[in-house]
Amino acid sequence: MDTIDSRLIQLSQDGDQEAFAQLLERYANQIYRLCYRMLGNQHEAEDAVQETFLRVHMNLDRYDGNYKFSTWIFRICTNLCIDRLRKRKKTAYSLDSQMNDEEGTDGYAFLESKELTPEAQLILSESQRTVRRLIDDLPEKYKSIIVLRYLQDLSVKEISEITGMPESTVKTRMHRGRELLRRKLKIESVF
Amino acid sequence: MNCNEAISLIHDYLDGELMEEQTECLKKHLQECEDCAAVMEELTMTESLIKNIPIPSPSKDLSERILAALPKAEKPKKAAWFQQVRRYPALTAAAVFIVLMMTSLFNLPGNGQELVIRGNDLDQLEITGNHVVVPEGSTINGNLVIENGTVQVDGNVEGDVTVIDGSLHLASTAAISGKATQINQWIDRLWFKLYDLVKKE
Repeated sequence: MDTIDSRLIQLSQDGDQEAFAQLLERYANQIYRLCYRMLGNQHEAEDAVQETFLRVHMNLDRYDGNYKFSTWIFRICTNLCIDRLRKRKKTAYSLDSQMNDEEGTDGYAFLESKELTPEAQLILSESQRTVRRLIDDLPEKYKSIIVLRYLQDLSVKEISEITGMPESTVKTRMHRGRELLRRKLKIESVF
Repeated sequence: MNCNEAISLIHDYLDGELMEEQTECLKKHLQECEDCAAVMEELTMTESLIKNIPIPSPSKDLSERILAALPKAEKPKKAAWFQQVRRYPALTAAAVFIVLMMTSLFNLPGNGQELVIRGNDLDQLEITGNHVVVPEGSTINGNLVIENGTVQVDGNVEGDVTVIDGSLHLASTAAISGKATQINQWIDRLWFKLYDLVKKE
């Protein structure tokens, strides 16, 4: 699996767009899931997926073959999502404020347009909705680690490589994040 | 084992980082302690809830959109060419050297038909067309180099006489303190040029 990745990267580095398209095909879904869980909505998640692959493409020359490609792309993606979450916090936005990218669109119009997306067609149970909200509200330092662990099924060691944090820190944050979710789920009487 | 220790071990267990031995200890504690067993139960449920929240599928054209937004292939091609250069620095240097040598070879001043004379006391020479004469009784101090000409030495030269692409005639009265050399082949000329260059440096 890794040899296929490294072959595809080599070809991409030499300017083979077809090879890059294959890399994209192999990772787009995982990256999208990671972005969606980190950011909480489809629109932003797709933006982040695009930005992730753009950065990968731009920095192909700098890819260090000592790491797995998945580690590298997850690192780029996680950092990008954390950046977006921090920016969002700074410009805490209201539904009444106009968005700057689309003319005359405010938050309400955006909510209505959501009706058509696959997002709106999901049927979530009460408890699933609660868990989703709790993860969305989780502080980002716990969120990224919980998401990497449970959506990508990664080990403590791999998460440590992706985030650049020592394994002990990853463990501490994972324990605290898990404990936080458990308590809140209990308060919301999910169990 | 107290409950605090047990909770910590539960988390290690969920991380997949608990040794077999410790797992046994934890199992034992959980059988005896209802509270910890409840925490274990709740944390396991938390895990499966997180794993199982559905995620909507992405837009069908997401991949297409990403590929369309990538910068076009021009730059990578250039980069590939440059990478070859970076990959084989010695080979590149050798290639550049050969190209420079070849061009300098064909551009050698002596390669044309023009007469070239180098040395001191040139005013003492008699030059007619391509024919150079060191007159009898005159003395040239230092080396004399003549390209594309016939040379006749009747006088004295206190140094070497080198003739490139030409001919050298020595009269009985001629006295050359150094070496008298004729160079006609291009490879000799090349070596001479190189030698000359190094000496000048």
